[in-house]
Amino acid sequence: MKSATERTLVTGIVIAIVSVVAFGIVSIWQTNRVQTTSAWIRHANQLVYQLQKVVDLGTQYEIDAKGFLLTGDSTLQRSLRNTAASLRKESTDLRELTVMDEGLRPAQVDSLLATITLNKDVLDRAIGGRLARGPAAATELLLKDGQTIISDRMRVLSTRLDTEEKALLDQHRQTSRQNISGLQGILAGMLGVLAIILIVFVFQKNRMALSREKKARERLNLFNRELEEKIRLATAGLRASEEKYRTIFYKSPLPKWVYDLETLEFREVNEAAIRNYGYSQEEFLRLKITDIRPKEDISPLMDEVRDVKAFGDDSRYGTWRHIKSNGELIYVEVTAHPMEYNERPARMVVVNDITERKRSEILLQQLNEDLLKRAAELASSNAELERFAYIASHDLQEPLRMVSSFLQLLKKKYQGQLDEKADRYIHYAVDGAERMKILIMDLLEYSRVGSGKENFEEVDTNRILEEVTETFRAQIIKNRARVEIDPLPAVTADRMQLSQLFQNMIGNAMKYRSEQSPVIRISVKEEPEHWQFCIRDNGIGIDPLYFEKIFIIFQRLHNKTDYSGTGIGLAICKKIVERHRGKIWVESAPGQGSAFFFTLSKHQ
Amino acid sequence: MIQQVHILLVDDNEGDILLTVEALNEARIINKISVARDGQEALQFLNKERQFRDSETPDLILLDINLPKMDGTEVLAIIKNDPELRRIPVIMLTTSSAERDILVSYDNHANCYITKPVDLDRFMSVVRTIEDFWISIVKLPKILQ
Repeated sequence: MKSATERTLVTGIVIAIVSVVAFGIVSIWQTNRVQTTSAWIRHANQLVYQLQKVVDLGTQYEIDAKGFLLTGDSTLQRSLRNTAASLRKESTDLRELTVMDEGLRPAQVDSLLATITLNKDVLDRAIGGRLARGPAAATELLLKDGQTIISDRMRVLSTRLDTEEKALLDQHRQTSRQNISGLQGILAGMLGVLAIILIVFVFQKNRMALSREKKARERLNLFNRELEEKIRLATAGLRASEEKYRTIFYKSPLPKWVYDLETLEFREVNEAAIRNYGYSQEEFLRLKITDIRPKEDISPLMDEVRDVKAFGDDSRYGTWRHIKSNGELIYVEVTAHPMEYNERPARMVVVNDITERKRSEILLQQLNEDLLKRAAELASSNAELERFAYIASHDLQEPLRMVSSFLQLLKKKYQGQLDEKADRYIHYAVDGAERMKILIMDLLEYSRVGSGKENFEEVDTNRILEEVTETFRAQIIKNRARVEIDPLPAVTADRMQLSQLFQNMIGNAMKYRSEQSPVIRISVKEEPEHWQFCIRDNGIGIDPLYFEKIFIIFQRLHNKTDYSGTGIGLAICKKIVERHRGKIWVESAPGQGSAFFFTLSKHQ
Repeated sequence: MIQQVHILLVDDNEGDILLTVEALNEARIINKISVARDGQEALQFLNKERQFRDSETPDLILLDINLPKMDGTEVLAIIKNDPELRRIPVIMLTTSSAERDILVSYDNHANCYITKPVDLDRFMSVVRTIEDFWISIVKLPKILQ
C-alpha cells in the first residue's frame, strides 16, 4: 500500500522534472529565436531611421543650397556648412550600420550615399559659380550638371530603400510575431501537458486516495458492524454474567453476604447463609454483623471494622466465631472484599465453616498431646524400668549372696557328711544360685547402658581395638586366631561402651568358632551420615530364622553345655548401638560364618 | 610372734557378719572381732559410750555402707574428723559397687573400698587378703587405750 503510494509519487515527480527540463530547453531555443528576430527588427528600425536622417539632411542641403543660389543669403552658407557636417557624420553612421549587412543592402546604401554626395557636389559647384559669376552662372551650371535628375534619383533611391527596408521590417515583425506566438504555443502546449500530467497525477492520486478512503470506510463499516455485534454480545454477556454472578452469589454453597460498612447491617444474603445460619432473609436483613458474634468477639470485630475504614479498600481474611440462630457456635474463615452497594461503602463476605476442621484440629492437638504424654510416660517408664532393673539386680544381689554363700559354705563344710541325695540337692541349689547370680550381674550391666549422652567424646576406634585385642590376647593365642583390623576412624562415642561393644563382638566371634581357626576381620565403610562397621568371622554362622532373636535380652540359641552365657551380650550391643543412634544387624548362614554390622551416627 | 589384732566389724546383716567372722576365723592370725550392728552403735563403741564403756579401740574397722540409723559414709566422716579416731584404718566393705558410694567414701578419707564378692570363695579370699595386707604388711599406728 505504502510502496504503491511512493511509486506514484516518484512517477509524478519524474514526470514534472522531465516536463520542466523539456519546457526549459524549448523555451531557451524559442527565446533565442525571438531575440534574433528582435535584433533584426531593431537593426531595420535603426536603418530606416538613419536612412531617413541622411535623406532628410541631403534634402535639407539641397533646399538650403537652392535658397542661397536664389537669394545669395550668406546666413544660408553657414547653415549649409553645418548641414554638410551633419550629413557627413550621419552618412558614415549609415554606412557603418549597413556595412555588416548581407545581400544588396550595402551596395544600395552606397549608391544612395553616392547620389547624395553627387547632388551635394553639384550644388556646391553651383554655389561656387554663383559666388564667382553670379546667379545665372549657377543656374547654368545646375542645368548642365542635371541636378534635378540627380535629386530625383536620390529621392527614388531613398524611397526604394525606405520601402524595402520597411517591408523587410514588416517581414521581421511578422516573423517575430510568429516566433513569439510559436513560443507561446509551445509554452501553452507545455503548460497543457504539464497541466494534464498534474491533473492525471492528481486525479490518480485522488482516485487512489478515494479508493483508500473507500477501503478505510469499508473497514470502518466492518469494524463498526463488528463493534456493534460485540456490544450486542457484550450486552447480552453482561446480562448473562450479571445473571451468572447473581447465581454465583445466591446459589453458592458457601454462605455469602453484603453488609453496609457504616451501619453494619446485612444488605444481601445468599441461600447458603440462610440455610446455614437458620435466619430467614427478612430476619437477616434486620440484623447487624455484630448480632451473629459472641459477645467477647465484638470488640475485636469493631477494631477490625475501624481498621478497614481507616486503611482498607483491600480484601481481608480472618478466622472468626459466629453464632447461628439456634445459638450454636461455629468457627468460620471469613474473606471480605470491598465493594459499593447502592453507592455506599460495603463489604462482600464469603464464609467458610471450619468448625469440623477446627474440631479435628482440636482433636488432633489432643491426640498429639496424648501422644507426647504417652511418649513421655514411655520414656519415664523406660527410665523407671532401667532403674528398676538396676535396683532389682543390685538389691537382689544381697539375698542372693546369702543364699549362694551359705550353700557354698554348706557344701564346703558338710559335703560327704550327709547322704548322696542331700549332696545332689545342695548341688542343684548351688548351681541355680550361680545362674541367678550371673543373670543378675548381666541385668545390672544391661541396665547400666543408660540413655544419657554424658560420656560422649571423640574416640579413636583404632585405639579401642588395640585395647580390646590385648584383653583377648591369651584367647587369640590359644585358639590360633587371626584378627585383621582395617584402619578405623575416630568417632564420637561413649568410650567404655564402644569398647564393650567390640569386646562382645570379638568375644562372640571367638566363642562361636567353627573347626577352622578363627579369622576375624574388622572393617569400616563411610556413609554420608554414619560409619558402618563390620565384624566378619568364619565361625559356625547363624540361621537367618534367628537374626532378630539373637539381639533380644536373654535369648539363647544354644544350650548351656555347648556355649555358656546368658544371652545378654548382643542385647547389650544393640542397646549400646541404639544409644549411639545406630542400627545393628547380622548377615550369615549356618557354616558360612557371620558378619555383624553396626552403624554409628556421625552426629551425636 | 603372735599379735592380737582387734577388728571392729560394722554390718547389719547377720549373714554377712557370720560369713565375715567365718572368714576371719579361718585366717592364720588370731583376732579379736567386735561387731556393731548400725552406725550409731559403731560410734558408741568407738567413743566407749553406754554398753561399750569397756570396749577397746579397734586396730581396723570394716565398715558397711547400707546401715540403719546412720549409714556407713556418715560414720566414716565422723571417724575421719575425729583427731584420734581418724588414725584407725577404715576399710569400706560393702555390697555396693555404685560409683557415687566409692567417691563419697574416698572423699571422706576411707583407707580402701572393697565390694563384697558374691562368690563365697572369692569373699573368703578377699577377707584373707585384707587380713594379710592390713595386719601383716601394713604398719599400723599405736592406738592409745
